[in-house]
Amino acid sequence: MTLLRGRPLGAALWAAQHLLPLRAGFAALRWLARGAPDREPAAWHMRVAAAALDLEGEALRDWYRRLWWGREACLAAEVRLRRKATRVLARLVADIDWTPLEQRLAQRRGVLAIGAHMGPHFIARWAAARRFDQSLFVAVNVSADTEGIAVRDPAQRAVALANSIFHLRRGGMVVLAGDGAFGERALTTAFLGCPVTLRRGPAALARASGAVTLPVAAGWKDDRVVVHFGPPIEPCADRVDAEAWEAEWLRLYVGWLEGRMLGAPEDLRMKGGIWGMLRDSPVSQIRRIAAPAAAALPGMA
Amino acid sequence: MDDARRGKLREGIVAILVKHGTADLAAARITDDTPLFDGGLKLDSLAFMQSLLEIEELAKVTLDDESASRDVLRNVGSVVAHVASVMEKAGGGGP
Repeated sequence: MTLLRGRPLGAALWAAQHLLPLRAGFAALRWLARGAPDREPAAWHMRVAAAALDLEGEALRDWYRRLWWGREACLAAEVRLRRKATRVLARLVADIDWTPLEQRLAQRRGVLAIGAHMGPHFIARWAAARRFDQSLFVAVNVSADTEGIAVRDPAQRAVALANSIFHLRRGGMVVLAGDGAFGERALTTAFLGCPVTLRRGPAALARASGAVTLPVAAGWKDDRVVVHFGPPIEPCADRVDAEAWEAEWLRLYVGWLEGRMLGAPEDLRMKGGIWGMLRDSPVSQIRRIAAPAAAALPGMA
Repeated sequence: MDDARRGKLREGIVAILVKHGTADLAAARITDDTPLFDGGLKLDSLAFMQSLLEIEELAKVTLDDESASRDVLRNVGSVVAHVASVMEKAGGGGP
């Protein structure tokens, strides 16, 4: 494993992600993952897992190996996305079961598909764009593969919110991350016991549009991308306290994200979005999650 | 749309935009050239969304994608002109 420290590891990683066929690359990454806890002993991810999941010793090291594999596998898949390797990507997403989303769309009341910085979300977004022609994607970086609306400045965000409302009122689907960093107003809630401040835009959109919210997270199963759906958040009733409703929406959404910690570590990625906020919190604040909660959350791996 | 009706529509739209904007601007100081965002009413995106919904109620029309284009969002005058044109196409509306 000494060979895999420093530059030789970088070369092996790069080859697994860029040169090998995708399935072989995944296998190579699995082999490289064996040494990951030794290479990165101070990784904050392990400190979070130790505190939140009460893992230690070999169980903690194994958890980290799986997390590491998932993160690097996402990059390997995103290389194919950048190369527009459509046939490879189509095979990768062939197992996604969109039924919960299709059922809600069939009701023609609009669906706010609310994602997060977890798992291979770029690949799932690509798959959703191919599958659903009534979808509108709102994101900081809108790729050529998924046409959508960017949200970097206030005017862009105003356009995005307004278009999203109109689109949802027509019974369409809007896809956006609930833990994005851009937006003027925010609400604070707790994630794993730590305060996190999330933008109000997605919750306000759910309230004002009257659409159902469907939490969505991408993950891995047998080296293919799958999608996990959370419990729907039903539309807002008329004449409620806007801020209180949005705070409750956020609590439900973050509660679902928190429950995903109990699922497969390769589906977490733990990079960007809500993870960036958690990273700034002292480990001593992280609350242990009780294992039985996993059974209560639909869509858990 | 006659001038009196357009004036009343403008007055209603300006009142909504001023209510949601964060700039310390009295309605009397708002001109058609006042921008909606930075350098003008200082609306944020949520305030703009709420304003649109209230303008729909005021004008008794349903707005669509065209209402959120960069051209419409340029300033107060462009919003009023757009809503007036939607009302005319819809054959009436309020106020």
